[in-house]
Amino acid sequence: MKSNITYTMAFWLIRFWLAARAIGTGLTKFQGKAPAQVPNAEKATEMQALIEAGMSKQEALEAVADMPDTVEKVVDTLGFSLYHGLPEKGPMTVETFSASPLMPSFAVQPYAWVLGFALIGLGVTLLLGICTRLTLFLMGLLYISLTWGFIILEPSMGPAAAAGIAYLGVHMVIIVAGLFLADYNKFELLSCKKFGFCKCACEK
Amino acid sequence: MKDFTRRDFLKTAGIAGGGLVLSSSLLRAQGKKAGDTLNIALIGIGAEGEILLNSLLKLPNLNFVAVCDIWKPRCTYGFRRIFREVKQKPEQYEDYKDVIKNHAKDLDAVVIATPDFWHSPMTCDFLEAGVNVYCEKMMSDTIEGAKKMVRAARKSGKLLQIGHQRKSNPRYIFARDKMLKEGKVCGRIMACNGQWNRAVTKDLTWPKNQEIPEETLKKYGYKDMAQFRNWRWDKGLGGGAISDLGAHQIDVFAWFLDANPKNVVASGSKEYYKKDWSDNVMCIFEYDNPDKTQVFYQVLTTTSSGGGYFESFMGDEGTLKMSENPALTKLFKENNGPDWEPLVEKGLIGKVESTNADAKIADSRESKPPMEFGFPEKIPGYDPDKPIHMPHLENFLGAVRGENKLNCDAEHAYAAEAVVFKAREASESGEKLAFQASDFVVED
Repeated sequence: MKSNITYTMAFWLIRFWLAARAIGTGLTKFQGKAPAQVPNAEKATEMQALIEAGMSKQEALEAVADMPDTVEKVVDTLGFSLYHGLPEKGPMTVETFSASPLMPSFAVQPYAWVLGFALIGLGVTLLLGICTRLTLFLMGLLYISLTWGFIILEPSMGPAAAAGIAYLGVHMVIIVAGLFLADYNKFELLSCKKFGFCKCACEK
Repeated sequence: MKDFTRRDFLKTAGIAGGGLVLSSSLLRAQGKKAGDTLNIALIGIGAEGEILLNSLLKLPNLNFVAVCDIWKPRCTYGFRRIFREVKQKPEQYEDYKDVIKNHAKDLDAVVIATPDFWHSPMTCDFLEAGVNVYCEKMMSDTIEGAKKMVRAARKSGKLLQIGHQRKSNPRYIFARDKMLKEGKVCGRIMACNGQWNRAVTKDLTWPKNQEIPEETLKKYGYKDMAQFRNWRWDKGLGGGAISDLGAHQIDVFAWFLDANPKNVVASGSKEYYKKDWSDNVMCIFEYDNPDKTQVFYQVLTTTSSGGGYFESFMGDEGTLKMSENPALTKLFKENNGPDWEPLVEKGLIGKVESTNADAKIADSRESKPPMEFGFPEKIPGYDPDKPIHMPHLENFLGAVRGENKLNCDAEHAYAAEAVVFKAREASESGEKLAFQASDFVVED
């Protein structure tokens, strides 16, 4: 392990940025709209209005007694039941990819099932410093797989897909930079050599 | 069939009512005078009840004695609105019979905005108890129910106004009396066209923690909460779109043409919502006026396409397209019609910037586009800021105070709604149905 505080800080920035990026993206796969009970703000407002209009607090309480304390509202929330590895609408659905001759259709649905968990898993692993080099490498492979999705949709999506490819390309550059700076990493929970792989790299 | 005019109707109605029906003494003088504070109750605070409450809260000299609704949250809503806005604390009731029992002696008027099938029993009970009634249209879900209301009004000597609010709308009154009758802007009105096109709506829902107990629902005639919230589509409770929306507009044709229809053909479709009553209804009436005007009316609840809601009077010299929405109201002069400048000078119509001025015609068989005019700048009694139901309530309350006559008493409302009942019957049966003179009056 080399020692240079500037390089170490540079690696940490890359490590935390990539971790945040992967975890955040993974979590959005579990995000959706669902009905939920939320406090009935109207009840408090109504009660206040009645008191301001001259009603006693007790009377106002009785007057709003029939108003529910909570109301059902459709809110953005997280949950396993809301999981969608690929978007449910738009040009990048499971159906779209399955219909492409450039994609093995049998693999699309399993890929979608795994994607969110993989992003979160790799992000957490990177954040905690578990097999950092291997994690970075696997993350790079994952972003390549996402890039492939954009590539095969480019004829139908046009510039939006091209922008997606370039955007993921930037991720790849950051990952590669991370691998180059991995020698300066500090604070790892489990280094790769503990498991016996990439021993050479870790022992440089 | 013998021609039956509105004049005949008035004559027949007068006879049927023993000469009492249209007697001015019955249309006013309820022991109150101009400016008196009136004790009123509001029965039913659903969507329509809330609209009426919005207007009532803006009117002076009203003392809200009671509010009543079987759905407690709506009842307390009415109570809270009244307290917040006019600092009064009406009693809250679930059962209208308790309102009668506890307040009938003091009540000057009651406003009823409940589902149609409750209109008749409630109105009859309040009239019998000596209370003047404003009841939303339709009068009833059945023609028999409507007849009972007319008879109850006659027997009690109390006022009964039905909520065909266009009858008190200053713009409609001006259009009828000044533009059509005095100015004869349309010339001979050979055809009319009316519609209310409304986009698809989902069934109304309710918060699960605010359900009415089952025994309460049963007591008031509902099988469950879903039916309570969506009663308009169910036979035995409501009358469907032709009754809910069409009744307002079909009434306008008879009013403006000063005639009743003599027959109707109609078609209804239940293919979209699969409910008791039709989603969409199309009707053609022939009116019993000198020009034998043909009237096409449609109510659609599966599309908002086609320009919303209006009643159009299409004459050989001009067309008046009326709507409660001023933005949809139009007046067109036929290109080859008489000069309307004198009408503009008399203040019967107004000029607008015509969008048709430079319109080109594509084919020699096509008529030149009509020229656009409009209402004059000032219409007596019209205030664009007033809710559209307010003038009709003012008319009713004014009648209770002896200031004016009712604009839509039970007898006239019955004549208007008899047309709707028959149109609905025609749409259900698919037969051409004729109107008899007796269809428009209620025998004693």
